[in-house]
This record gives sequence, structure tokens and C-alpha cells, in this order.
Amino acid sequence: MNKTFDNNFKDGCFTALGIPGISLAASFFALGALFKNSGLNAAQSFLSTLIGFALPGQVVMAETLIVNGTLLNILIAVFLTNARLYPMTVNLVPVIRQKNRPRWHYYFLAHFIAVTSWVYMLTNYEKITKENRFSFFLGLGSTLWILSTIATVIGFYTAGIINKKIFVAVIFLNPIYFMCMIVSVLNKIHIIATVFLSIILAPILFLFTPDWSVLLAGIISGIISYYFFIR
Amino acid sequence: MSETYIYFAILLTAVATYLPRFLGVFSSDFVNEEGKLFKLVSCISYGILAALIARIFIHPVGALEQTSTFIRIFVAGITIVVLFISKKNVLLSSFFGVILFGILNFYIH
Repeated sequence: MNKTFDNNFKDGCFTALGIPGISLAASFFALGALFKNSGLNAAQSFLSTLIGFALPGQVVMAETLIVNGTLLNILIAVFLTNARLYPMTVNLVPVIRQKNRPRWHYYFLAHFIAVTSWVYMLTNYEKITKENRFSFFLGLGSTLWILSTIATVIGFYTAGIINKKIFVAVIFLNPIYFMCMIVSVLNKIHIIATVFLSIILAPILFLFTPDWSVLLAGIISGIISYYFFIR
Repeated sequence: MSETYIYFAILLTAVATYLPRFLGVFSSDFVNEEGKLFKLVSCISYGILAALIARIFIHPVGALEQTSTFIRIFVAGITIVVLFISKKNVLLSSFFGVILFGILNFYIH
């Protein structure tokens, strides 16, 4: 097992400080403003990103609190929203797995698995040698997490100060970045088919089951592509 | 709504968020990087991400909800063109997309 906090860890940190970190921080900045409007205080906003680092789930929590939802509502709604993290984690861990590394390291690292870190790692892992990927991802994920936590607090305190149209444009950076990352790596037929099918299916399924549309579109398109192009 | 209630909500959100990650690490024992199961999970993960992006562009929640669907989709299309023209420069294309969206949203919507 290599040393964890080595140059690969630093490379991961520096990578996170670029476009992945900027785009994610923009979204968490907006989340901070949403938290303020939802009745949370600064400490609660900080704690939310610190221990529950996954933006869609945090948005669901805030929205459920606004409509006076019960704690059980929050638990179920957040779990359904973040269920997408399950296949993403199953997909990522074999990529960064190292021989002889203790199991708990992966359970710790799992806290940093979110869309931004996952997209970056899955689209760039072949450039990093297998034994260095864990350290790189730890640097990447932990830096994104710290940036997001700071951005949430800044967003909380600056809510209402920034022009609304600029604020909305800043939020748009994250989905545009995700889209560019995905499109830039569309080089395998099964992934291309999955992405196209899912983009068509998701809005259709949304009309019938808004809460499940993302998960169902992903599962259905993934299975169909696998069946036709890999199996 | 009491402060304690909000703290409980935050704690439960953290549990509900970590649980799929925990189960993912546990299940990953049965998956190796070269296997077919890895490719299936990979397809599903990319599918979920694509669906998530489609949802944000077509049915967003929060502040983006108040912007024009046409502008969001138009900007996405132009950004993809720029991505290919710029030889897949993600940084340049992302900032181009945001600036274009900002301008259109400011002057048209």
C-alpha cells in the first residue's frame, strides 16, 4: 500500500481547485441562499454540507422543511433522491481499489463520492496508475467537500446581495459542466447509447413519476444498452 | 419549526445520504474492474447521470425553474457545438455556456 497523503493526493486537491471545484462551489453557494430562505441558520447550513454532502438530497431536505414535512418524509425522500449514489459507488470503488488497503478507508472515502468527483474520476482514471488512484480521489473528493462547505456558508451570508440574474447564471455552471464532461467522454458505444436513451426517457418518465424518473431512466437505459452492446 | 427539529432533519439527511454510499462500498466486493458486472453498473451510472442532467435542463428545481426552458436547451446545444469546435475543452465550453446563458437570460427572459 502506498502512502496516502503523497503527491497524488496533492494532484487531486489541485484538480478540485479548478473547474470541478468552481462549478460545485457555485451550486453550494446557491444552496446556502436556499437554506437561509428555508429557515436554517448558518451553523445548520454548515453542518448540513459537512455531514450530508450531496446537493440534491440537501435541496429535498430544505423543501420538505418548508412544507412542514415529517422527519420520516425527509428520510425517505432524501434516500430516494440519493439512491443514485449506490451504483456510482459500486462503479467507482473497483477503479480505485488497492491491494492491502484496509476496508474502512473505502467506507471513509465514500463520504466524498458525489456526482462531480465521480464524473471527474470515471472520465480520467485511465491517466492515473491504479496504485495512485485512491490518494488522488481522496484529495479530489475531500477538497471538493471543503470547498462546498465553505461555499454553503458564503451563500448563506450573501443571500439577497447578489443580482438574481447573475445568481441564476452562476447556478447554471454546474449542470453545464456535467454535460460537457459527459459529452467529452462519449467514446464507447454502450455509454453513448445509454446517455442518449436516458436523455429521451427521463423527461417522459418525469410526466408519470417525477420522484423516480431519474433513477428509473438510468436503470432502464443502462440495462438496455448492456443487453444490446455488451452481453 | 424548532432548532432541534432542524438538527434532527440534518442528521437524518446525512444518514439517508451515507447509506447508499455504504451499501455501494459493501457491494463493490463482488465487482472487478474488468468484469461484465462493472460494465453493467457503469452503464446504469452513466444513465442516471444523463437523466439527472436532462432533468436539470428540462424540469429544474429551485432558481433555475424560473428561467426559460428554451434558453436552457438552446444554450446546452450551442455549448455542445463549442465543445467539439474547441476539441473537447471542457473549461472553455462550460464558461462559454454560462456566459451565453447569463446574457440570454438577462436580455430575453
